[in-house]
Amino acid sequence: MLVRYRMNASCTLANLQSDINNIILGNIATVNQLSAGCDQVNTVIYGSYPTGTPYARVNATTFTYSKTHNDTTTSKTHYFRLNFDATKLTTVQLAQSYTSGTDTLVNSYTASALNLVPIKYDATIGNEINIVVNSKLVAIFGQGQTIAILDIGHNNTTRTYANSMLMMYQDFGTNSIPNWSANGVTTNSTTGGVVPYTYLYATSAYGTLSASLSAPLVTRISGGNGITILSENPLFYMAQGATNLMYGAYRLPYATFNGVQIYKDTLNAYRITVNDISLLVD
Amino acid sequence: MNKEFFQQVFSQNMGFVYKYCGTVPSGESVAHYITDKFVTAAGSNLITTVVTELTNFGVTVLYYHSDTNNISSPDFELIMDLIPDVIPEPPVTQTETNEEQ
Repeated sequence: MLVRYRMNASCTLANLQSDINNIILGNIATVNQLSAGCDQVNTVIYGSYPTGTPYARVNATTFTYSKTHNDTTTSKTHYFRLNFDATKLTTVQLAQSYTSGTDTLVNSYTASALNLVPIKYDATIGNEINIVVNSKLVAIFGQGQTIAILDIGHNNTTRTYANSMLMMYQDFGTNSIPNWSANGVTTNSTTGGVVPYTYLYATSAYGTLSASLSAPLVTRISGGNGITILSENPLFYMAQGATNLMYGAYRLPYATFNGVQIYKDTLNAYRITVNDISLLVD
Repeated sequence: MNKEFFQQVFSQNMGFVYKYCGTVPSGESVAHYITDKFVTAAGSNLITTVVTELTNFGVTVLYYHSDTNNISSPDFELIMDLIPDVIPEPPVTQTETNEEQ
């Protein structure tokens, strides 16, 4: 599901925390279930919450969540935490594991500052926060941030070294805009993605991996008079040696959309897109 | 095990690397046990760490994502920070020209 979350002038940090929490946990099906700080007239919900409750809050104080991998054969669960200070959502952490007794993330990574604040929605600015929650990923697009935590697929490395994570953090914007170019490079030197804990052949040890995006070239093709077909090719996280499929993330033809946009595929399933990257909504 | 090696292991250019000097009870998860020890030493559970066993070197190290090294514990020995070394500027050499020709 995608919640195009818009706030009113009275929105507090507690409102924002509560709404993000309830969206992640699937407690929101209609806009009137959001808090009093939400601009319910202008907030829009697309799609529906994933089945199987892949997300759970694991601590009552901190905003720490577990997420099970969408492929049940992997049986992987990892953890992420939303960190707030007195005024804003500051950072996101992603971790391989978690100790509940001490509320401690184990083998974790902290993303660069997000700094999302409660702020009144202004249609001329479009300052909403788009929150995507599905079985494959959770993404937050808004206030200049375009980040996601995504499931990744197995490869020979992750099968051999089974403590390797199957989840990654990816920044699709800010300092890491994928510049695929019209002529179609297939590997993007831009990083912005991190697997906090995986086996690294270069050092013969588990560690943190930062690498580049990769995707096959994708172009527009004609589907008949007045019909343009936009292909969506799968996105890969290119590491040392093998690559990992990034679940729910696709590459679009060069400059198909401008800014953060929402569109439907031919089966009427929603997508959200930025910088030639398309994410599943459902 | 120089700075470049650890920067590669942890994909970071900041923070600190510590050698774990204690033992891990049998049956315990190495990463969980050492992380919990470090949380106690740091006095906070809201930290970012990575534990890895460098089998080629026979040590277990912990990466701490922080601007400051404020850890004082016999279990953790600071190896180094991961802040890139400042490249020294080449010395300026003064050349004299003979203008009295």
